[in-house]
Amino acid sequence: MWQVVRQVLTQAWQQFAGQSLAVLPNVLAGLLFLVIGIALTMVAGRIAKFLLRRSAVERSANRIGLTAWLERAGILSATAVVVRLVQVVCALMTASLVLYALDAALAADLTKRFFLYLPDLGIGVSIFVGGILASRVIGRRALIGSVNRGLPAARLLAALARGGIVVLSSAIALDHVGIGHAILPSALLIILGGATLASALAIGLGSREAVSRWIDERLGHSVEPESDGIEHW
Amino acid sequence: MSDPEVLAPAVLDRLAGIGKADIVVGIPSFQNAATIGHVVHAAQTGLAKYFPDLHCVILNSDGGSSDDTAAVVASAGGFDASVVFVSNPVRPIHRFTVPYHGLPGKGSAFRTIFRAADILDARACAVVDADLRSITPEWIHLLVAPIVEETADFVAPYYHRHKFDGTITNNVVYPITRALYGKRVRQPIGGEFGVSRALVRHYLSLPVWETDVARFGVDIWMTTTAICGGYRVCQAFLGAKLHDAKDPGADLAGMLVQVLGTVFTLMETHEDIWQRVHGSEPVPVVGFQYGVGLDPIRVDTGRMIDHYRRGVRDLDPIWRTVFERPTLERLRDLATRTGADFLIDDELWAGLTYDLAVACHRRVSERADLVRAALPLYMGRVASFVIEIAEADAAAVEARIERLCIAFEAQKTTLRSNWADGRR
Repeated sequence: MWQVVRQVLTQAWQQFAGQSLAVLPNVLAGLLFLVIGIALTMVAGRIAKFLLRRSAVERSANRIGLTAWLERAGILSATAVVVRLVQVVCALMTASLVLYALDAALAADLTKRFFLYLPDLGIGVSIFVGGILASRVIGRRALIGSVNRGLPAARLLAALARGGIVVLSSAIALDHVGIGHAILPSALLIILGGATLASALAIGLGSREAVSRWIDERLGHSVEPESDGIEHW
Repeated sequence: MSDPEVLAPAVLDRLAGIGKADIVVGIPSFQNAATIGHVVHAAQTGLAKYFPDLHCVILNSDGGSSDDTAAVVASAGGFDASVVFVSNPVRPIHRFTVPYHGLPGKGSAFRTIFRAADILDARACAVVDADLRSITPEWIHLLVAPIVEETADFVAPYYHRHKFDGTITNNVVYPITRALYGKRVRQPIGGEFGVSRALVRHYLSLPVWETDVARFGVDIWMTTTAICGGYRVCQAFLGAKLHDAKDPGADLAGMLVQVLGTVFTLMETHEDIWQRVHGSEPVPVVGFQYGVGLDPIRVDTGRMIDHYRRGVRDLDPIWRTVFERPTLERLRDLATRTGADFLIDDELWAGLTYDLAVACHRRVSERADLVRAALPLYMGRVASFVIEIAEADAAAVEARIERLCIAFEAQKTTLRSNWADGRR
């Protein structure tokens, strides 16, 4: 009995050791690629940063108005964007090499799938980023308009406008990349709810004064003029 | 040169029939049936009285009024010649209405008038608003005579207004235009102007008529272009300006965007000129100056201060992209004050205006958004100004505005530096 157990254990160990030894060069090669890749990514980032600073790209971006566009999207430096792009490319190449080192067939399959998926992913990301940018612009306009019209819930209205667009663009982006097909109708419902709430707030708060004036007029109270009395022009 | 298609073939035929004119008086209009008759009458009388030997045309450039504006112009009666003349027959004054084309707005109306003046080879062109109630025949004389006598190419109006009125002019447009371009044109967006033939042609030659200038901001554009083009500028004292009450629901933010947006656009266009200008010089005034009694105005500063406080409370994320932290802290502190303690002083106001100009230059956001976001600041400044001058007479108010202008001139060095660095 003990002899059989020992034989099974030995065979298992031999199989494990054999397979591990067979894979070990791939793992070591993968680790090597990973270390080199990380180092290269960092070095490439620093070189890109150095070169971009030397070439005064920030000033050029400022001159052509690119900086302002990036600032609107919450990105404070054109150099940072380029450096991050270089690093992302290096990281993707490293990941690809590591996968090839571990399992060429799997890596090839994943790479193929990735490239097949890339156009949809790109469009999805573009829709999402476009939605974020549009939400900032519309949220800002809603905020300014609400403040200038004297609505007490200006920030809430702006947040609702901004959030509605983010939800909608996210839902469209996810739908495009094939994730959560049921999200889009839900998002539209959320938007509709948000729009209804925003409209109710805007109309309710905006007309409060008008209603008050109407009641005052009906009761025969004196009514203050609506304008500040100045001809600004 | 201007596109001749600005004028319809029928109008061109009519102008060809007239041939040549010495003076063209243009009246841009839109829904002004109530007042335009008086304006046409005053213009007609002024031309006949002061320029009887010259060939004159009155042109109403209408933006598609659905009221009786055109009919009123057509039927505006002549004048009692025995009242205005001792002798001399009067040359006939041509008078007609032209619908303007292109982008809707006052600028397109001006373009039509200038194009007609150009075709008629007029020596002088005057433009007066159609909603004026205080216009007299003397206005036409004062606006046109310096041009006809060749002592000026551009005549800006100079009015007496109530001390609380014209706050955009008093607090923003006059100080900044004076500080930038060095000429003390007191009413740079007045609405009434006299323009020489050379300047009319210069205006028409500029590629702005399909831009926002065609829609709005044409007043400040004309003034600034005349100054920057090196044309001789003078001012005509016209007395009090009374006109039809504007729509009380008019969008003040939109008005501010129109004027300040154009001022900031012109800063880009004429950067090489204003960067070189230091200080300012007076611009001659023609016409006998006299005091004018104006009806008192009741002003609600509480409403303005509330508007300012809403801005401080909610617009911080936008203001942070325009103003430095110490400035924002001062603005927040002001929001807690009331009565006479609520004071946006001249230095702070000049700095805010210049910071806004630099932010527009840096394009940290859409220009219109930035200007609209500055409306609460403007309301705060107006409230502060009204509180400050509540008991002041006209002379004291002018002295107060002079101090503001000096503050704008003093801070121009900082503006230059920030503009060049692209910093706020």
